[in-house]
Amino acid sequence: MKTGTPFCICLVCSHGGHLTEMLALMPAFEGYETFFFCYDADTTRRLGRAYLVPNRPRNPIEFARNLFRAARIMRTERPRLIVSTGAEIAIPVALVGKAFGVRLIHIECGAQVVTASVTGRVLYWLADAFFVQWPELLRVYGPHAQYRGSLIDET
Amino acid sequence: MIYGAVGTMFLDFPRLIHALDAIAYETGEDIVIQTGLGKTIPRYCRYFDFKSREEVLAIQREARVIVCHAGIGAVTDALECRRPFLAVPRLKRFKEHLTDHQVEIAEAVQRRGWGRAILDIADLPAACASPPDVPAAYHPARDRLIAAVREFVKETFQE
Repeated sequence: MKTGTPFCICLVCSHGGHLTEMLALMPAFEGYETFFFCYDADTTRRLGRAYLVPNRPRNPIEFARNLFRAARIMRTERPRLIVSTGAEIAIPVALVGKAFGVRLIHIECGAQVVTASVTGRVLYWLADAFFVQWPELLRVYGPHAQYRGSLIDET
Repeated sequence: MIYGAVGTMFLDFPRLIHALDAIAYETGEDIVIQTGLGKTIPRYCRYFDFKSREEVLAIQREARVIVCHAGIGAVTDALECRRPFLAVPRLKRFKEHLTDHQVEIAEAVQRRGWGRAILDIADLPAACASPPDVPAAYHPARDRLIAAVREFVKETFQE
């Protein structure tokens, strides 16, 4: 496996709707090398280059393991950017990524219309760019959040 | 034909399936339901658990009304098909979901004029009998979001 490519992007998301949203955003990454960090599932085994981890959210041991897995990947892949569409799986990757000085962008899930997700609340403080998909949600997050278009909303 | 869908959630959504079944029994209208991972199956409707996205979209485009749970994937697909649309949120108190976030999406659908939110299942028969109009156009701001993300990506690699 080629490692340490200077144009590498780490895409982190869980395997359901969050993955659907990431795949819809793929045109934004054209021309750059990408790899996924996801839960191991039917949908994620079909992805090309992907690090798959056990699907055990809300499990502190697995959370700690993901911190170590993320650290290993930051060292070998050396991504310049992490893109997150949530959910919880993005938290350890974002924490480790920031420690390694990797830039981070989070796109809040379209399912969050007027309340913030737990992942969003954590990543709000870590992300270099933070996008929401409904203008209504701007009021809930602080001034760092931006509405710049949406996969579902028209405004 | 009415198309009903409960999505890919691991929890059952009997409230919706039973309500559609009652409508099929009362009115005799042809109803097709995507029943997903749940155990509940209708008696008076046609049903299937899963089909490919293309097949589902083809059925939805033929439907007189689309009635689906208010998951983000199902809602997006329903809006793409541009048919009269009723969004029925799964509710935590009936153990249909882990949170009540589907109410937010259903209410947003209604606020934007894309369809109607069915918060009380007793309203479903009347809503199916006189469904809301399809909005004149639906153009989600996808390209704008992709461009905004791309802009940030480019900026990152230029530094």
